[in-house]
Amino acid sequence: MVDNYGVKITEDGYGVASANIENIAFSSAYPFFKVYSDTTAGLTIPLLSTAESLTFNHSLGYVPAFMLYSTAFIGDSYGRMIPRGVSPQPVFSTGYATSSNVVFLIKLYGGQPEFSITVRCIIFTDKVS
Amino acid sequence: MPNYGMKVTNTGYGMSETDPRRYAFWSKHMTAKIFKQGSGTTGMEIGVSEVEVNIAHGLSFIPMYMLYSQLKGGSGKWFINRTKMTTGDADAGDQYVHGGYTYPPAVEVGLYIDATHLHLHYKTYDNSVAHDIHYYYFIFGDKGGV
Repeated sequence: MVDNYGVKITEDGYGVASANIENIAFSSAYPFFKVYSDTTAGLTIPLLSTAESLTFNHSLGYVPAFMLYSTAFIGDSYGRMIPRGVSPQPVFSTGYATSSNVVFLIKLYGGQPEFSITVRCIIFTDKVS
Repeated sequence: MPNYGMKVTNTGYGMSETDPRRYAFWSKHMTAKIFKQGSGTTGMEIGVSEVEVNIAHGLSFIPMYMLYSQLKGGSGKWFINRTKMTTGDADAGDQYVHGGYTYPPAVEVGLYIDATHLHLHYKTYDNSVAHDIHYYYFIFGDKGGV
């Protein structure tokens, strides 16, 4: 097999023979994340709760790369990527993956009223461990 | 040449689709290219409270990145990116115990990237025990700076 094969597509105005990597729209020489699942789920945090979690299962059999997003928490106005939370915000969240699921964790301080969020979990086929 | 490239739609959609979400791949839209990926281990012995890892990426610009860290050896739980945003984070003194595990910030990670390295900074608030840390990183061939 020749060592110079594959597909490369550059941005408009850049030649395939000379384009730098940041101007390549696609190259089969570089892998990219492939979406295994894209799921949203609701979570209601009860009055005065101090910690809640939300689990997204997968059947990959290994720890995959993933991303989490949520709608706005109590006390702020923006949907954001997880992890999130910095002092003096009253809500802190993070997320982790195992070989069977992705877990969204939320921790609350100071006694918060009930509120609901939607969490989006994107799991990729790309292996972490 | 304005009309060139490749596109592949999701099942059930035709090539006349204009919504990029209906495409599995469309070269009109940049893919986040994985330029470099890899794993490593580090740790903190008893009495040690922090450790830094610097990963050279070989690009000449500030790239996009993602990091996953197993903060407690053997837990099988890989946390995404940082677990703490600033050193002034009031959450840092509060260990999160859930399901028999102690989560960050028992061990936490801050990270940033520049034009030469991905910098990881692991820190513990409990140096009475040793900490075994595993990490996996993705560095993309796409600019992450502004």
